Amino acid sequence: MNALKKKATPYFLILPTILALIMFSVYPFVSGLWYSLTDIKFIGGVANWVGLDNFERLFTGTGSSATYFYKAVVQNFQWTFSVILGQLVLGYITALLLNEKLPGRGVFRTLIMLPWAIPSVVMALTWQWMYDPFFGLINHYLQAFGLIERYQIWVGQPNSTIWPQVVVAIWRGLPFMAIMLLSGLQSIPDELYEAAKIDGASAFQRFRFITLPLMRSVTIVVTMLTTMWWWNSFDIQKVMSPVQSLAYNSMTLPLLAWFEAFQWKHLGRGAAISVVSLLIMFVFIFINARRELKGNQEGV
Amino acid sequence: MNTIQEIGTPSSKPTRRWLPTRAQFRRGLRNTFSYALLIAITIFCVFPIAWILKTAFETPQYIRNPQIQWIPLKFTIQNFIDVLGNPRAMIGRSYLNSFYVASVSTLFSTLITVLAGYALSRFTFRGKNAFAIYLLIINMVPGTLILISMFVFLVKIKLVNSHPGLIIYYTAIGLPLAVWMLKSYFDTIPIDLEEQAMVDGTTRLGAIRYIVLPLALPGIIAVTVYVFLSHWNEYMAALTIVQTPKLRTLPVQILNFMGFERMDWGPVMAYSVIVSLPVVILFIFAQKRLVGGLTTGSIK
Repeated sequence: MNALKKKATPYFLILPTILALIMFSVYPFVSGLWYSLTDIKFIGGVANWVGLDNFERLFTGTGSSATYFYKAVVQNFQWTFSVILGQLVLGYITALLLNEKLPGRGVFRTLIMLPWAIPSVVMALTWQWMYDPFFGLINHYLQAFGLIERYQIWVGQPNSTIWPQVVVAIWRGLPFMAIMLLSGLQSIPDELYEAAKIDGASAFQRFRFITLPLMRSVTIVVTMLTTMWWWNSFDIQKVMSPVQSLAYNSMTLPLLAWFEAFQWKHLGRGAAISVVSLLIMFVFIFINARRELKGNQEGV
Repeated sequence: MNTIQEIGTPSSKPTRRWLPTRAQFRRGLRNTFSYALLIAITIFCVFPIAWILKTAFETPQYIRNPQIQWIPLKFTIQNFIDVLGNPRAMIGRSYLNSFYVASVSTLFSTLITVLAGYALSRFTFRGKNAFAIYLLIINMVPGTLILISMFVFLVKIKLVNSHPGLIIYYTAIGLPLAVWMLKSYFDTIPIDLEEQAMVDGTTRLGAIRYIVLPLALPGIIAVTVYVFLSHWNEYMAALTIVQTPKLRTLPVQILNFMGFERMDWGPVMAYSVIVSLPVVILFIFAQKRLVGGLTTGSIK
């Protein structure tokens, strides 16, 4: 009796969460997969099975969003790759600097965390104001430093590109990246560095042969997590796209799926775009996770 | 050669020197370089926030100024008065909406998941790994997919375009994150205490109630704050599920307001300050614990 009770306790404790997850997370996920195979109506929610029709429309280019689809896939890769790369490089530099025992680093840390605290819509708005074609400070400074000849229209136009938005995303994600990497750095014992110093290792060698190998699993986990987030990011792209319409050169999959589903009211096709997006991410993460975990068993 | 001496007896310098030693000089140079880089990164992180404040407190006719000024030419709180008095901003109403939706859904997510976080931290049980992997994988699923099927679900139960509908959605997306962070907080509490209590005759639930929960309370509060912030800032679902203007939450309302006040950035930035201030304060207040929870959770 007691043994049974002991065995049952964890299940009893997670039961509410499991039930809630099944209702609010598993069920929506599975039904979303199912809707991608139907022509579900925006009003009333009647769903008829159409097989792979929604996917066929995407790949053969007969649906309303199909013209955008390939562009969106390519740009989603460009977007995610450049955002994560930028965050990683800047995040590493920031984390290494914050890890040095400099006086006043607490103040710096708090200031660097601020972009994380601001609501994403507010910060996208603010960047839009800074990108303003007539009075924006970005145009002003770029011209002052001689990087552009005349003021540019950066965002919010039908022909705008993703690159100004990439800068915003790097800015937004830098605090999280830096703080995660910093905590990884702080978990490396100081004795290792001191021992290497005594053995005559240079600063670069210490970084190359102590920091990098020990930071490997943290870096992999953080990179995977942020890749999933930014692959699916929506707010920045939505706020910075033209009002009520789409910009071909700044199109990414989450935006396209949302427009297809809720602006053009084809829920099924929107779900199909999301499913394709999920499959790409899944394959990507699966391949990488397997390779990385094979190389390094203590991984996740 | 220098280095060994330095590590051995730093205080046994023979005489006081007016010129720095070579090692001191190099360290000084290095620190200067570090500070310069750190300041550059901090400026990158903070300048958009400074720009929000500058624009919000600037007299309207000086906002659209080809010269960039970082201190308001003529300080004013007129923009705030305008926003608060503008019926189109509906700032009070949206504030209440946001607060209501975010706090109720946060309460649900945390209440449902506290015990599961504890179970994940303390027990090994069949299905635990599958459960943990599900919590990670759900990060990969595009928000649009979940949103599409939740939208259909809410249409069916007639809760679309209502606060309860939004609360259901937020609770759903808050669950996996909350479980994960709570688990990592419980991991930091030594297991000996509750075992001692159980040896002394308390039941498992008694130990949780009187030993674990009080110790974990700061962590639970931090998780609550984080989940609250992410619900407060959420944009995509708030835009999709709620259409009636008086039910809108802040992120949707501020963009809507910007649509009305096209290019009139003073009131929009004042609005931004009003929206961001409470969450920034909350964030700074909770950041230390927040960071701890996020990092231990992902590194393990």
